[in-house]
Amino acid sequence: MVWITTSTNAIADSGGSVNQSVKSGLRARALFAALLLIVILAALVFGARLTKGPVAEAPSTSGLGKPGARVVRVLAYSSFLSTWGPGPTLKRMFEHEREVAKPGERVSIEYLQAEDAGLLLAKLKVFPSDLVIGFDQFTRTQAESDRGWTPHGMSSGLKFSDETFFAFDWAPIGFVFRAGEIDPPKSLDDLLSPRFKGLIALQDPRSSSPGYQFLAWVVAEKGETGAREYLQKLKPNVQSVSGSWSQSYGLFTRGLAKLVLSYATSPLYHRYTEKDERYRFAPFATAHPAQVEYAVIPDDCKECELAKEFARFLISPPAQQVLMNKNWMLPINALAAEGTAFGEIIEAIGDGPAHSLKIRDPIKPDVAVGRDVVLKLWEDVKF
Amino acid sequence: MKNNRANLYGRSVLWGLAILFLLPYVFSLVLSKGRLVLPSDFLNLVWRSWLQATLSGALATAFGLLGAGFLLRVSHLRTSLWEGVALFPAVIPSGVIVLGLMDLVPEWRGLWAIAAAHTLISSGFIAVVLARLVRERMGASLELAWVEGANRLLMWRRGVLPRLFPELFRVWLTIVVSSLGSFSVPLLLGGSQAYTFEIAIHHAIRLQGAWGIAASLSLFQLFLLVAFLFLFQNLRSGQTPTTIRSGESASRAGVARILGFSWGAPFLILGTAVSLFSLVRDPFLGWRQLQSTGLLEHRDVLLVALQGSVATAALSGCLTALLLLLAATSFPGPRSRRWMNAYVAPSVAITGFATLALGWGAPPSFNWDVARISLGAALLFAPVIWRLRWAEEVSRLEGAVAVAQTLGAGSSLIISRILLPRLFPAAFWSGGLVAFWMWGDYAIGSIVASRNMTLGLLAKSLMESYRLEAAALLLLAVLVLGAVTYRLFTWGGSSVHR
Repeated sequence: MVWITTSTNAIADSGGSVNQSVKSGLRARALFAALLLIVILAALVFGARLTKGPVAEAPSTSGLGKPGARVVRVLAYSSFLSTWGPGPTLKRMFEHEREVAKPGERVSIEYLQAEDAGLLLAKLKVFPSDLVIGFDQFTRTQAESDRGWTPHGMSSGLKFSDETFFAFDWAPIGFVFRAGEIDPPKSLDDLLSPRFKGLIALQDPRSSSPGYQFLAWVVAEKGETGAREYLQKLKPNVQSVSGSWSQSYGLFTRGLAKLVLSYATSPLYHRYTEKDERYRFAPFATAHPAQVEYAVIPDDCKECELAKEFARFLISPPAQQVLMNKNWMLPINALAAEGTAFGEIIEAIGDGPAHSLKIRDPIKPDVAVGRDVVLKLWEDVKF
Repeated sequence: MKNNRANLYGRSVLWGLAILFLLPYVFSLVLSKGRLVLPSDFLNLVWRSWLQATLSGALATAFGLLGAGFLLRVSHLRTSLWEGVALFPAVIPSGVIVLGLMDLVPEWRGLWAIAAAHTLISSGFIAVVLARLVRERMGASLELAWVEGANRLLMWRRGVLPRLFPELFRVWLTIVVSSLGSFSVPLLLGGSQAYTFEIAIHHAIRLQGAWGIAASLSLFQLFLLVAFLFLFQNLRSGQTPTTIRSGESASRAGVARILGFSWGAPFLILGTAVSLFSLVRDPFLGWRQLQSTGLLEHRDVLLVALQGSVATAALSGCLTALLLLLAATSFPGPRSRRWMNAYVAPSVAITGFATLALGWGAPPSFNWDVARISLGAALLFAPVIWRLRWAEEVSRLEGAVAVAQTLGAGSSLIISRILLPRLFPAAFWSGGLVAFWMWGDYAIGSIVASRNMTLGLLAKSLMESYRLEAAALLLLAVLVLGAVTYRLFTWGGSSVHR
């Protein structure tokens, strides 16, 4: 009552000025709402237009399918699909190749983004696709048990591959450093040296595939008990444990860490893109684990034959060169790397005395203990 | 008759909102196929999560309160500028703050480091919220005390803090909830000892596809917080103003003169300083990295991302404001308000995935991505802002609404003449805050979007491709644009309030 009376009195006292104030407030409100609506609609209309039509021909755009064409939907991770990733170039190359080979039939690659294996599998249920890119040797096990997949039909001699999951690139995992900053490690045991105190950037094995690779590597070399002791001794030398490779590598490039768990090909990015020759990979006397990237065709594909064609294309030397130069990983098809720095790394890999880089078998890892036990080890050590 | 219609309208809206906000939980239950499983180290998870969350909340609230003291000091014309500065750390990826902290104090790890990072991220936001609360509600009575000879310390001790206590508790709880959902900060600064619900849910969904674990953890978190909040629901603000104009009649200059203190500035800008230190390390390298991506040549990608950010930010802000207004104008009774105050959104992963139900079966498109991201943002942020500000606003208006209903006013009259004029400024501010947040977002987008269609997602891709400095440059641009958006919204709110 008091409030209503007060308000009424106020209105009566102030007369017209309050009415004007209310009207101007209403006008301002209406103007603002109209402006906001125009901004949102404009963004939606222009944004939608930019992801279709002629602009879609440019290599850098979203990768939506051309109108009137048969569309092959490919699910992949974001850095694969980005302007600087291999996706747009591969799309352009495949569509052009197809147009030249079969002029009457238009084919278009439509990219969709999905990160991490769990989300990838869940998103596949919402957006059925013809090809999925983004599993590694650990997450493919989860994918195999989650649903059915179509055989890709390629030769059985493909490196690291079977009849459904085919590898399209890979890289040895180890430690990267900058020349002149530290004396690099030569083995897993060398990482325990006091000269690396507080200098090593690792990734959490629970959320990062390379991080898990490192842990599995230690367990394979040392056994479960030996691994526990090793990790306890390693703790003082660990600068940080990041949730992902990109966070960890960011700490390294910032100079906060002097040694980072990464790929043998990482220094090549700095050499060729940043013209920085300081970055090096430290090969160990023992075999390094390898990270393998897989693609696979779901069993509910619509354009299954086209998906198989695209799969064959991904393994061809021209596509492998694009993957090599944009993903900064080693090609599965070694022909693509001949005469390049990537080829030098491939040539260094082997078991013989002439080879400086030994690799563990990524698809039959000799880790006798299961994933849960390995991760429990990590949690018990409490980094 | 009119009251019955008001009740029907209110109940319909409340039920609609309840269904909308509970959908992500239902979605996770459906995906889990009813198989709820707790992780084996569940008790360890609860203990560690709560320890770092409660410490983070306490430290952030303390810093925020001191920062609010400075915000009260600044002139009316510069308030939005300083608020933008204060909100800066809250809208950028938390990894930026962590990098800055690691640069400054390389050896610092553990529980206190995590709390410090959360404080740097959140204290500016808390300062903005608290300063607005004090400015809007406590002016006149405190001005009177000042005239009567009370000094600043006495006014804070006897006047402001006792009345602010429930808000401080809500703010603390908000930070506790957000810390429970923190991911990269505990991982980077605490290692395997830092364990939060978000880390556990992230592992369950994104890596293992174990929806049973994710659903059970989310539900447990909800029940725990609801129970906690219900226990403390009896806290009320201090004396309810006897006239509606108690907060309005004091000028901002008057309140600032009474309560503000300049030495609160470091607490306000510390998070921003650390963020800028981290972002502006090597802009030249960042520029070269951007050139190497081809983004500067193929500007259409940047344009799409810019438009995606504009659309998601604006739509998220509008949706959030709309949901909050709907909730506030649905005449919630005391019991409904308890539930509304206690509700907590599930993790980003679950909420983001639930939004894929929107437009189910439709081919992926820019517009559907914008709609889903915006809906996800509204579902995540609306409960936070409700608890921070709207709960008390609605509680204060209860008396006026009751009087109007007794006098026979209909629901439409009450809404249009009593509720909306009072709530519009809060709605615009809330929308602006969410819009600011969404400029830098990639958490929801990385789950929902079918392509890199916002600047935040582009920055994330850059970070994953060795191009950290380029991502930092992009984030700086995002911050400026986000601040402009926030200013536009708050301008809209101040226009209404005139």
